[in-house]
Amino acid sequence: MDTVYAILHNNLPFLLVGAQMTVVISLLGALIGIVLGLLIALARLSPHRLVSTPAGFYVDIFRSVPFIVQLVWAFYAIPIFTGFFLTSLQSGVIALGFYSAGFFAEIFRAGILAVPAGEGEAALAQGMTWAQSQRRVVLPIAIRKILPPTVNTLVVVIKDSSVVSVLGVGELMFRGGSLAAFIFRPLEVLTVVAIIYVLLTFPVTLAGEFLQRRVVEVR
Amino acid sequence: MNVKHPDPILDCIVLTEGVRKAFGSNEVLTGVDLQIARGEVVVLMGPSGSGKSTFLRCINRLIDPDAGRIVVAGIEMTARGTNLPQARRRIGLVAQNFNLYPHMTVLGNIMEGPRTVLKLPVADARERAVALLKRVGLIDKIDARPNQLSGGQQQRVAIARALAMEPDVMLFDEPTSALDPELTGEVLDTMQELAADGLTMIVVSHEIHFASRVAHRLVMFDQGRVIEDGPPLRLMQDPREERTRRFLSRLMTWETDLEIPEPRGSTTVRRS
Amino acid sequence: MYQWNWDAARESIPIILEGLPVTLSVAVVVMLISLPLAVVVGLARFSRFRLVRGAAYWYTELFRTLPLLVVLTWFFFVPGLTFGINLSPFLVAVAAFVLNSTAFLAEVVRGAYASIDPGQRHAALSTGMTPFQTDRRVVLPQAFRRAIPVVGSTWVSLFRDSALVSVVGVHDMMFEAQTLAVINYRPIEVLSVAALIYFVLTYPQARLVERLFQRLRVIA
Repeated sequence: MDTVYAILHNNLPFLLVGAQMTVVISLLGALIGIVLGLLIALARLSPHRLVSTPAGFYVDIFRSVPFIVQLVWAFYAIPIFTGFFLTSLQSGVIALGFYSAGFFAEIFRAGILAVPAGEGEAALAQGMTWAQSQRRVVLPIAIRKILPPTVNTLVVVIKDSSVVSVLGVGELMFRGGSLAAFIFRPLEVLTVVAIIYVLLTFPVTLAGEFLQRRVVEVR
Repeated sequence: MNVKHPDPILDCIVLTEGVRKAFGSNEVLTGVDLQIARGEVVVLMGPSGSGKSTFLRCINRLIDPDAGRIVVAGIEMTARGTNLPQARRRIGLVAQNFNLYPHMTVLGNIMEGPRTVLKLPVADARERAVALLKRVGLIDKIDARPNQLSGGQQQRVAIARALAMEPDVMLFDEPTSALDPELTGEVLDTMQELAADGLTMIVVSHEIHFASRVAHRLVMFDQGRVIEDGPPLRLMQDPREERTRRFLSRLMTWETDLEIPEPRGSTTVRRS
Repeated sequence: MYQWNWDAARESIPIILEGLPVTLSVAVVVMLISLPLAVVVGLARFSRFRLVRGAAYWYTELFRTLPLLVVLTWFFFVPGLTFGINLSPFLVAVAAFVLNSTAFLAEVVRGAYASIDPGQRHAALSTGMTPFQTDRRVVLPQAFRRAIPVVGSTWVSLFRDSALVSVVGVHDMMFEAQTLAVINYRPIEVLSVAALIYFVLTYPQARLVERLFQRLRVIA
């Protein structure tokens, strides 16, 4: 009879490879999400309706459709509409990126809007150039508002990376689920999987608090 | 103002002995001994941080003193077995920020205590609330919401709300400090009327004119203890403590040694 | 060039919508169970007993961090394989979502309760109310009013993320879409329609919640 320890010992490496994959997927997805989200946020703030309205639609659509629907859709649609044949992993990362971009766009837009106009004006009145006023006064205030929700969304990205498992991508959830069924030990395996997920998200929240204290509250 | 001076020994309604309180390493109260008789109006004054508000809130044990004894209307507030909610019915508190319940009307605010705590039937509670509203001069606002009232009006409702419990003693914690200057008058008028009715009042305030005209006693706080205690006019004209003199004189006048130069330009318009 | 088949798209609409009652029942049942539980857990964070406070804290942190799919998979396998209890897919879905939503809503309750001005409690206590009466008559009514918009947005997320239950075999809209896509070999049309349906159902609710947030500014 296998002991719990033996089970863990034999299968932990297998799961940890999945964890590695989860980290990669989350990082790449978050990267795409942040860059794309920033572009969309700026587009939303543009005075040209031709630019701001589609950006608005993007946010509304990508935040209203469930991620799993977006994911499976991307899996089928990307090869057909772009001609690139992507692996499940690549489709998953892209879908995750586009999904999270909707959330990041809202966060960035709210953060930029939250800076009172008076602060920028005060900086200009003191004699700074526009670029200086943005960098030294407006940006730090915006970052202060953006940091906590961004950290939260990063955690959400890690959690939603687990959904990519439905495409058969060998990340942590997929490996955990398959293993649990395969060796008929769901309780032990899934508990370990849960622990690993907690261990993956914990540093993100810690880093967020650290950044909050050092970068934001030094002033 | 014709004030009947009560007999301090027979009618002692608030007694504190050796009350101490520290927040962390900050010793806010370092031993307060005070006796207040039924019907007395006492104003507590002193620099900020001297512990006046903390002391006030120890009286109804919103703040727990670290040491000392507090007796109100015969109830040992500081004893372990005391039923605090019951004891607090005898003590009314009016705070700087009014703290009216925003989700109730003015009438609801005043009726809340009698209904929920005293278990009065609706009709009786309403009758009491209406009488109190008339007394503070706000009967026309009976169905208004707190956010529709001015600061002075809200504070008067807060006073009515506290009076609805028919307390033996009323505590006022800087009742006019959060008000615009033109609104403080109406609140002080109300408080003066209450004093004239014989209500026992302990007031933390820097309104020196109110103290000199309405209070029987002015109690000076400094660094967590009482440094002087006596009739307001005596403390203002002939204080025994240097710190009392310094605080009260700053309160009554504002002096400067700086010379302000005459303006250089002229504001008269030249006619051509 | 891809040949978009409008017929396939049109025909998929009623089939996907067959899953709507299920999608709704999952969301509604979860919400009805989670809300009262969340009030208990959320307020437990303020309990006098350290054990109660701690338990509430760890529960909330754990189930806000764990991916839903992990909890779903846990309920899918563990009761059956380890304990011999067979749960229907619907029960599996509800159990997992309840644990998750309760944690998020508890945090909302905690935040709303803590955001009420302490002066309110002081005033009520000074009148002679017990702590229980203070909560019931003064603090909680105000806290709930504040919590409503956030509860609203939690509901919208719940409705949207319910699509995940299709992986454990609940016949919701996503499940119907997936099965149809396998049968008629037109996954693009079917899934696009599914996405559209979710959008049409979710977006108006999201806007309503936004209006709730704006109205809260006016009242409070």
